[in-house]
Amino acid sequence: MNAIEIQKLKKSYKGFTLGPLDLTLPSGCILGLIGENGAGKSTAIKLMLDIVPPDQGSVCLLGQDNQGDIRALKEDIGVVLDEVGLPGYLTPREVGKIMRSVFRNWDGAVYEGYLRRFNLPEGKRFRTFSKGMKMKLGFAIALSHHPKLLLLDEATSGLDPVVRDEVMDLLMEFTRQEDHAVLLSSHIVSDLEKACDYIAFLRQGKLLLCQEKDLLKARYGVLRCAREDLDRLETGAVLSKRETAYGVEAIVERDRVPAGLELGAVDIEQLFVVMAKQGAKGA
Amino acid sequence: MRGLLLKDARQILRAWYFWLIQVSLVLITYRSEFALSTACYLIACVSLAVLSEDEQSRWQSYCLTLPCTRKDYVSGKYLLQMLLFGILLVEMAVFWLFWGAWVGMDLMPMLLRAMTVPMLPTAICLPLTFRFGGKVASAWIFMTLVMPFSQFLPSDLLGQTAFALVALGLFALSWPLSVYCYKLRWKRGGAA
Repeated sequence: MNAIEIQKLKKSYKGFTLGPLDLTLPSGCILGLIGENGAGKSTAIKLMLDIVPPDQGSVCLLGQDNQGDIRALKEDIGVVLDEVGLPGYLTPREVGKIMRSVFRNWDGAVYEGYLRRFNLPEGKRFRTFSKGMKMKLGFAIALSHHPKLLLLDEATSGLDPVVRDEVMDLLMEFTRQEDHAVLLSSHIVSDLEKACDYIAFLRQGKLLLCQEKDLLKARYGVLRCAREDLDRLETGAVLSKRETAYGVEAIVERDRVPAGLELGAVDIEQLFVVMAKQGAKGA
Repeated sequence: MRGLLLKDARQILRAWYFWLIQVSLVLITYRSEFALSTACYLIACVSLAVLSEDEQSRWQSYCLTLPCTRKDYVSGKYLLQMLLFGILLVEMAVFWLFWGAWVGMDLMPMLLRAMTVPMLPTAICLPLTFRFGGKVASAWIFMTLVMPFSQFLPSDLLGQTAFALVALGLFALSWPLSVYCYKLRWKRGGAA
């Protein structure tokens, strides 16, 4: 089953249009949604949750249309936004009591377990928490009602590397169950590269690509060679090039590079920057 | 819905208890018609203040990621406001039992006034706040709250009852209007 199926989704605001967006995420996988600030990542997630109504298109989450019983659907979805919007006077203990009334399948023991795991003081007010602690509480809430799908909007931005690493471990642990899936939007590409199975690039509201990460890595490579060697490649094989003191460094399509030339692995960040620049030129 | 109400109740007890004490103090200390009207306006302000706090803390966005709809959120605020009206009426009745006509009124005219005076501004302010947010709507809210609604109240019991029913009707009508306004606000991208 697909955890997320988006078809021709479109939303227009004054001066910005997202989509038409087509995107699929199979269960058991993590999808990294990469995009610059203002690319439409948060809008896409809000559309998925029907927080914002779409102009056209459809969204199916966990096999159910999000225009149906959204309340029941959200019981199976955990969400962490870039800012956890809890009132500052609440303590984690009080948040637990409120969430018990919000979620039918709220698991107090799991929640307390996460509070201990994240070293979050139960009696301290939310407003006194650091950014990292706030995000950890957001994760504790999102994971304590046994969700099948996690939607994380810039949830790792602003966290220190140790906490980010902890969160990434948590996500990989979560997707060990086959019916679980995660959509993680970020502009910190290194995080996504570590954890994601699928990568989607969003630029100015348009989806540039959505593909398996390993396929992307198998398709593109980094060629470091002399300028003459690069000039011998067929046109279209080179996505981008940069001249260095030692020669040329180019991102190329592996299939179109003759044997004998040694190719290095491309990282997703490089690829995203290249595609974003190409998109900007094409626009 | 229960969770949303629980959160609002905690918010009021934690952050607005001083406000509620003030309402009681105004009533007990001054024991006048003016004190009654002031208490009514103060009560009308609580749900608007909670709404603005929700907006500031980004709870409005966050609660829509939980199993709650926009309609649930709006309805929660209306139920909260009704609960506050109820508390005010009970408080008035209890005071009347202790001190009799303590604001120079009989029980029924006093209760009708306590129902009408806060309901009218709330019926106007809530849809505006749901549509434009606390900041933009604040000028309208201020204008509505300074309107001396109590001056327009008829002096006879029948007229007062009719006025209270009109206020109740307007409050009831503003409920679906607020749901519509709030949906429109999200649709147009005006919400956080």
